[in-house]
Amino acid sequence: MAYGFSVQSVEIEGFKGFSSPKRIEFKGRHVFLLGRNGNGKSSIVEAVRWGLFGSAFRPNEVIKNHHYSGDCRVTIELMRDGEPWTLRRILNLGANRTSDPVLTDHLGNRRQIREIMPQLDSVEAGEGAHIIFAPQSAPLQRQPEDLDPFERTVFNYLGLTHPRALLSNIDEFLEDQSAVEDELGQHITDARTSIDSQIDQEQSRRNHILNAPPWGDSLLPSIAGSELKARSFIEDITGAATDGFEGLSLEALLDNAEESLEEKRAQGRDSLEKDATEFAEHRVNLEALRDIRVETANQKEFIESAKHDLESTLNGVKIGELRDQLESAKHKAATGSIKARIARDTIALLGREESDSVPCPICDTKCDRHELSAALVDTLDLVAPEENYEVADLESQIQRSEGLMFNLNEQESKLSSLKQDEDRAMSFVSDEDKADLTASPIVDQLIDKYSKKEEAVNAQIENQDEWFKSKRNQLDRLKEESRFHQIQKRLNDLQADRKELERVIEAFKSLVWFGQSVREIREAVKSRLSDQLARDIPRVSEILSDAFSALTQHPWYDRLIISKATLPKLELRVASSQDASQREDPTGVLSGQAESALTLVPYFAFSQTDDTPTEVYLVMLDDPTRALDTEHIKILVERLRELGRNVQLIVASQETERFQQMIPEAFDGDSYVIIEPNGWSRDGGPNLKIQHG
Amino acid sequence: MGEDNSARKFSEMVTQNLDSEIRELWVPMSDNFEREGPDAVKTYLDAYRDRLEGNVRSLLEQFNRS
Repeated sequence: MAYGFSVQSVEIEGFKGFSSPKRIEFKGRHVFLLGRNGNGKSSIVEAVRWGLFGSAFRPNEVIKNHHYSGDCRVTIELMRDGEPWTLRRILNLGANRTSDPVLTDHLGNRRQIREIMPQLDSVEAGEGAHIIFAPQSAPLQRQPEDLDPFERTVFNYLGLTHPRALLSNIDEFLEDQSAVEDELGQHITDARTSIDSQIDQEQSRRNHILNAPPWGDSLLPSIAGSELKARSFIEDITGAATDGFEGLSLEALLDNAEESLEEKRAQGRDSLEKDATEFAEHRVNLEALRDIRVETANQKEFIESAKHDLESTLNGVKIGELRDQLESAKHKAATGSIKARIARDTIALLGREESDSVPCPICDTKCDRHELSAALVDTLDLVAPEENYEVADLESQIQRSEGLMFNLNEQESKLSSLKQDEDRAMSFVSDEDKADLTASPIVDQLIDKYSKKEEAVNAQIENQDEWFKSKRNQLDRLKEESRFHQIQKRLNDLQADRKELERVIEAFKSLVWFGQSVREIREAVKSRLSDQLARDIPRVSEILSDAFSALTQHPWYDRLIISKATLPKLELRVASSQDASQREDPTGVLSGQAESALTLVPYFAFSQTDDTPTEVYLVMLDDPTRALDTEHIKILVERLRELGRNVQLIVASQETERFQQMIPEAFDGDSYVIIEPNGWSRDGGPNLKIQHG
Repeated sequence: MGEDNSARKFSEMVTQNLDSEIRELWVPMSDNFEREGPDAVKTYLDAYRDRLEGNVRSLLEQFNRS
């Protein structure tokens, strides 16, 4: 261990499982941390790692022990050229989990870590030239970057870590850049589409007006010209000056014109319509009066005729007298009827007598039967028919008279009703017209008078409608002019907006140009990186192959080759020196043992080949024996022994028994220390059994 | 193997691959790269982009308000 700093001791306090300060002496020797998982081996490895680099293995990992009230602190004592140095790191409180390292030289002077250990200060944990950290399990190996640990180690060895990180950072930047370009580009496209669409729409509306301009053949009016027209229109409607309208916009003037026109129209029309209605009512009433009077005259004629008919029917006799006569005639007819019945009965009786002398059925005097019968027949012939005819005649006369009287009453009642109608109609007639009616009762003349008045008013209404229609058209044209001015203004505003959008577009072009330039830079970086890798890859492949062959001692695959085709991505392939053309994916052809050993290859390969002095010659391996059998562990220990000639080793493994047996055989007794964490308590942290060689 | 020297050599080689217009942008990037490492380049690019993006957004906002 000829170069750089070696780790003499580490003091851990409040870090992970260390709930009380604990100092572990390394004395610059190799350190083998043995024991079951969970006992604190990895905590010690990580404490050294954090003490050196200040970063936890996993991002945002909580490293402070919450049961410990003091600081989370790691103090590493280093030795260089026989002089002791101290590197102390304390976790800052707060969410960012930063820490400030304090480096003190052998004289107790504080020194800048950047000055003394520039590599340690500039590289990430696990990427230092000989500060190698092999994490425990495969899923956690991948760092938060686009490189796997193998690639990281190769890039580090070739001194291309920064160029490779530069490429990654540019890629990351370009991803964000593309998102920003897409988002802003979409905003600008939307805005441009919207504004262009609005301009097209307004131009179409403008052209539509220009095809049939409301100002006719005149020149395109200015806004001031249109305002003058609007004021003139208002003056025309109202008959008043528009001095008070100074300063009003064209739209406001037209609103005022509209209001004035509607007001004027309403006023004139209301008055005329009222007159027309009044004249019509007079005319209709007079027409009704005329009809009533005609009907009254007719009615009177009916009544006179009815009276005449009645008088003719009664023939100078009153109806009461006729009824008396009827009663008398009925009585007489009844008497005659009785006589006739007696006569008929007697005649019938006499007919049944056999002798000619028979007693009178009434007075019992002896009479001649034939003579008596003849006398009775005469009686029948003389009396009965006449009496019946008189009754019938009287009844007929009375019935007819009563009908005529009823009819007469009806007609008189109707006449009375007509009189009432006339009175009612007369009540609607004006006093002036009543006088005319009294003076010259010719209703038709009055009807004609009102009809003519009505016609005159309706003609006035029609004229006014025509006037209004004409003014309405005039106002509509003015409004169309106003709309034209509005469209023109909107177009001007939109054109101004379009110019403003052009400024946005120009700024966006600068952003896009910037992105495009970075993309070209990215291509140049990638190209240079690939060129350098292509130059160095054969040499790297040789070194890797030697380490791989020594570690695995695979019977066929003894070559590791990095493909040039995928640079700067490093794709590892295995091959045989007996047939180098057959290159295989290691995961497809290697056993679990060989595959596990493969992960250790770069650490062994590069730590043995680099002769450049570095600051801290240290290789840390956490659980390198995972999935290795005894034979491969033996090979590993042998390689570690060779590696340990140049660097200080810190190796953690759960293969306690095999290591306890193999380490004394491979290493000198004073060159190593074995630490076995074998228990843990909340107050004391891990219990460490320390065994020096 | 010194990373710093390597970074300088690398950036010089990249410079040779760029035309003059792009080189103007690359020069400050490479300075950052050589002096402060790759993360500083990302910081530089982010800040450069933020400035241009901010300008576009500001103008766009003005345009949307009008």
